[in-house]
Formats: sequence, structure tokens, C-alpha cells
Amino acid sequence: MAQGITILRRHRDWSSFLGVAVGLLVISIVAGLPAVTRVVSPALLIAGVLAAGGILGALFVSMLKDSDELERRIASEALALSFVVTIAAMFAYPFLEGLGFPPLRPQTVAFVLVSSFAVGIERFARRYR
Amino acid sequence: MNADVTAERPPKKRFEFTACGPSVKLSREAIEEIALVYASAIALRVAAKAWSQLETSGRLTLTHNLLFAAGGVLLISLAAFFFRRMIRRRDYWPVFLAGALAFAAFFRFDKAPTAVGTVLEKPLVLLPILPAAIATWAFLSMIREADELERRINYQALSFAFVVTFSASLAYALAEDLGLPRISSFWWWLVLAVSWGVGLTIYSRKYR
Repeated sequence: MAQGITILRRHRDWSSFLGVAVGLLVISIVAGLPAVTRVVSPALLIAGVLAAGGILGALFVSMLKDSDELERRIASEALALSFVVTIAAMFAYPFLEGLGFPPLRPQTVAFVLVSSFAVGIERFARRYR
Repeated sequence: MNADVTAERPPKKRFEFTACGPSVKLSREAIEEIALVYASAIALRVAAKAWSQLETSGRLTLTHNLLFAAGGVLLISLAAFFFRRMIRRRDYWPVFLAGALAFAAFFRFDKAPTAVGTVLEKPLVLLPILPAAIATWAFLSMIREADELERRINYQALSFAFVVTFSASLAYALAEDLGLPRISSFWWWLVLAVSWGVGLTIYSRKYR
């Protein structure tokens, strides 16, 4: 993991992106707590999460513009891994529900996306060491 | 001499993210192989369903069990044989399609698993992971073989799909806490696939 993070840290936007992604995951879990939804307007909460998603998108755009060849190659392969792992997991989960697994929460989708991306960064950064 | 040159030539790519969008070329041979892999998966599922119904009603003898087992092994071997042929040609796009279709062949629309209440219940639930793993590997191989422009288009499309799915899943998680119904994970698969397709269309147009 350290190797992947070292390569990513060379570019400020990459570490900002991962930070915002994890922060957004935490915010959405906290915002869904009954104690919060009782006090803050639901529309405001959803608007807040969507706005944070917009910031995440803007970071991605700036990252795409500025990343060098090696970073792009590593991120491209990590994104491809994250994509196929998430797609396969989401397709396979209904099978597991038949075995008695609980229904999937949407936060799990976000968690699978981010964690498989992080694993991909580590895996593919090692190749270019 | 000519034969040597032909042997050294890299295989022609069948799937490209060109500047005019994704371009797919499937040979007749590949289409036949995909169809046969899919047919093997469907036949395996039907055989498993028939076996489980006979098993639960107690009408199976040892000979019947052996026949079903031989049939199952034969169908799995057939699918493996066609996968191997496509992989040897480095024809990754058909491998991806065949893996995805074989995986989809096991998708069920009812609640109960295929061989519910039998010894094969859990193995049959886990079996679709094999074609999914092959499809995953083929997809990564396609990305690795892409040229600079294709890689750039796909990279941007995947980034787009990542952000859209990530934001949508978090927003819906919140909406779910506020009373919206819980949706199947299958819908998240669809969001990811559709946003990737939209991303490919948007970014391939950019380089036209």
C-alpha cells in the first residue's frame, strides 16, 4: 500500500481525491443516523451529499488533466480492477442473498469501489517499482 | 520466410476504444464459441435443476446420479475447452463476453437457489464466480493491450463511472435512511455499467 500511496502522493489531487472519497463515505453514514435526520432537513442532507459528490467529480477532472504517464497507467489499471470487481460483486450478491446473506446497503457499494481501487493502486504500482 | 513473419505478427485486436467510440469485431468462430459456452452454462443449470427436483422427490438411483455427474463434468469441460481456445488466440473480448454470459446464465429471478435443500446448493451458488473471474481477467487484459488513445478514453470513462456510482450510492444510502425502499444490488451493477457506457460515448467524442 505504501508504494502506491507514495506514487499517488506525488500528485496533490490524488491524495485529495481519496481523502474526499473516504470523508464522503463517513459523512453519508453519519448523516443517515436518526439523531441527525431528526434535526436536519432531509432535502438539505441529500443536497449536501450530492454537492460533495460534485467536489469529488471536479477533483477527478483536475487529476485527469495533470497526471503524468505512469500515474495514468497505474490509475487506469486500478480503475479497471475496481470496475470489474464491483460489477461482479453486485451481480453475484443476489445469489448470496439466497443463502441467507442480508440485503446489501448502498454504502457497501461505495466501500467496495474505494477499497478495490486502493488494492489495485497497490498491486499495479508494485509492477512499476 | 513468409510463414515466420506471419507467426511473429501480433494478433489483430477485436475490441478497440477508437476515437469514434468503442468498436467491436467478433469473428464467426468467436461467436460460435461464445454461444457454445453460454449453451453449456444453461444446460448445466437445467441439469442441476432437474437433478435437484428428482433428488428431493427420492426418485434417483446410483446410476442416475452417475449419469448426471458425468453430464455435469462434460458440460464444464466443454466450456473450459472453448475458453481455452479463445484465450490461446488472445481474443479477450469474446472471452469477456462468454464469461459474462455464463455468469448471467446462473442468474435467478426467484428467491430459492437452483438446488435448494441438496448437497449441491452451496457449490452451485458459488460456481458462477468462476466465469466472473475469467471475465474480470479478460477485461483487465483488454485494458493492458489498449493503445494510448484507447487507454485514455477508457480511463476517463471508468473515472466517470466511478464518481457517478460512488456519489449515487452514498446519496441513495441517505435517501434509504429517510424512507425510500431498499433496492437490489443488481441495480448498482446497472448504474455502474450504464455510467461507463455513457462515459465511453462522451470521451470518445472528445477525441474525434
